[in-house]
Amino acid sequence: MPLHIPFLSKQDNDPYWDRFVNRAPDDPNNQAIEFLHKTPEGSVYAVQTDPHTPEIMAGHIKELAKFYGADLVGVVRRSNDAEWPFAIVHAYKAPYDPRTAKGPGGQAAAMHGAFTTFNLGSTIREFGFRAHKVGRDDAERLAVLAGLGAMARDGRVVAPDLGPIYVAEVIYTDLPLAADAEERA
Amino acid sequence: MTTTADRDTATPPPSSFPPPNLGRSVRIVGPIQNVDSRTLPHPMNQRGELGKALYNWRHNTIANDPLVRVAFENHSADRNHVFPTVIRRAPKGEVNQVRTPVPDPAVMARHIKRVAKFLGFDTFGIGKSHPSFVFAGKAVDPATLDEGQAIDGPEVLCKRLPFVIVGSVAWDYNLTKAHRHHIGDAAYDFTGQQSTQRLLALEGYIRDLGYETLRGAMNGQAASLAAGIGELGRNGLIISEKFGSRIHASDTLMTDLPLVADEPLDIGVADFCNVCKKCAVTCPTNSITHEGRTVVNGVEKFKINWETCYKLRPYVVEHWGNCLTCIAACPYTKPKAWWHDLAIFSMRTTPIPLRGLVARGLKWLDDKIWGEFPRARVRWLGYDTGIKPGERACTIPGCTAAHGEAGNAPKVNVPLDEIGWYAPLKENTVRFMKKRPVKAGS
Repeated sequence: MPLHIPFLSKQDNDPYWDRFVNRAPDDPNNQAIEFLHKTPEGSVYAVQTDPHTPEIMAGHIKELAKFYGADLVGVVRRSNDAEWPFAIVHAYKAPYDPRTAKGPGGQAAAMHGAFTTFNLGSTIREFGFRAHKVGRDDAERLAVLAGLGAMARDGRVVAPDLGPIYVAEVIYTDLPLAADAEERA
Repeated sequence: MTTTADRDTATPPPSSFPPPNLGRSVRIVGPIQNVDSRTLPHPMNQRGELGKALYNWRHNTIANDPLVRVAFENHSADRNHVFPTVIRRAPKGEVNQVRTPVPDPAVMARHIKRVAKFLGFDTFGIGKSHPSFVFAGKAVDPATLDEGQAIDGPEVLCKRLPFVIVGSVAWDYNLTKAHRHHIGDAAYDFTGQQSTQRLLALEGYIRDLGYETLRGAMNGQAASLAAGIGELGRNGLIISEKFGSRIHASDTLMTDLPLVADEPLDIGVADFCNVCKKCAVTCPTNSITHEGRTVVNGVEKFKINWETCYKLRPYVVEHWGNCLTCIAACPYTKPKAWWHDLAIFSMRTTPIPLRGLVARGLKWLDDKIWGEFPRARVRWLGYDTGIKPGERACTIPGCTAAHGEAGNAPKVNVPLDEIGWYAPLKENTVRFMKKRPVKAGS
């Protein structure tokens, strides 16, 4: 039971909020996140955009991810994979844990993450470089490696300024980027 | 198909709905004929009725700019990269058969507004559905059509779905300053995508609560006025309290969820637009009137010439897609700051007969501080409004890449205080202007 201090803390008197946060919709089609995850990826544009330098392009990719809605972005170099040398991780402030809060409110961070994954991947391919979303299996580990936050005891990543964050699908790319960290085999 | 001429002459059947309250910026002065959505610019262009140049611009042009190719399906190289195109293929969820009881609509209205804010809408309002808002060609639920049942008329539809929800996402003020540029395009187009994404989430939630929804069946501007999102400006756009015109509205969402409708907003736009005219002066195609309000389809409002506004686009496609100058020039379009709130407060609280005086003072201040024709050098993701459109140059500080070798942009040093500006049509004596730094002693 949360502690409420009179005159200082605002009592939540919204009777529908718990349902909004925690209850999964009866028809999964009322949440388009899964559909967005499964959409086929487009083709790589034939003409490459000038990547300037890896440092500048990494800055642009991070700015672009934040423009699409991300709160934190990091780049990890994957030394053991020549085909996909970079992983982009992006994360969102998530006051509710999307693993347990299955309602549209609990999944809001995942929804924003799916939007950014889609648009960032599309943009990199339109830049003329390859990009591929690889799911969330390794997302938390890469986020910690990239310095986005630290792993808490409950398995969630906690960022210094944002608190618990949701790390969205990781994007692998061959776009030359300056990495925040290196993943060694 | 109802044409503009038909709308002006045909008398609609008497309505059981009282005239809608749309605030002070527009006035209902006569009967309103439902607008046929097929007479809107994009559908007309799709049928080739606006000429070859416009048709080819919209349907046969792949953009050079990568962000435009991601933002806009008609200019994309691969439609699988365009969010609205992809999400349109998503199956629509069913309405939950078990309705969540709503004993107090006021509580539900508060909840839905909280939900909208949580999902990321910047402005949000609930209006009462009115038959005059409904598009003539769309006043039907697709499900009903499939079953071959009678098509609902606007009145039946508004009784079945008595509320309309409108939300919008605002774009960054600094990117707004890069109007007539791909930077402005990106800001405009991607906030539109975010609006769509958030509205879909809200629609899914309402359907899961057990209530019907119908998206895109209404005129968004009329619904926005009724829902208190803002007022209609001289530039033909909704001007909101916090963001001015830099908001990208979502589709309208009609619903039968029990709610309490908001009232139209009064932030003094009706009075300010009478004296300001900055959008009309800066419009590159003279599409915005300098004159007073005129009556169109029973509504007294500022009427813009959409044809001249729209027909410019094929000729500037290499440089930008959406002009947005009337948005950037509007004195209401400002960053979030206390002085902006104070200016709005002064307009809102001044007695109506005196608002013209306050508007003159605020307009004078706006001209002095932001300029009569607001312009600024904006650099974002390697884009630079200081570079002449069509020319390649890298002005990114610290870039050491050998651009010339790969046939890419040469490295140039454009001084930071030398602001470039592309100025088509009205100011076309100098197509690309640069504000030279003032020399010492001059």
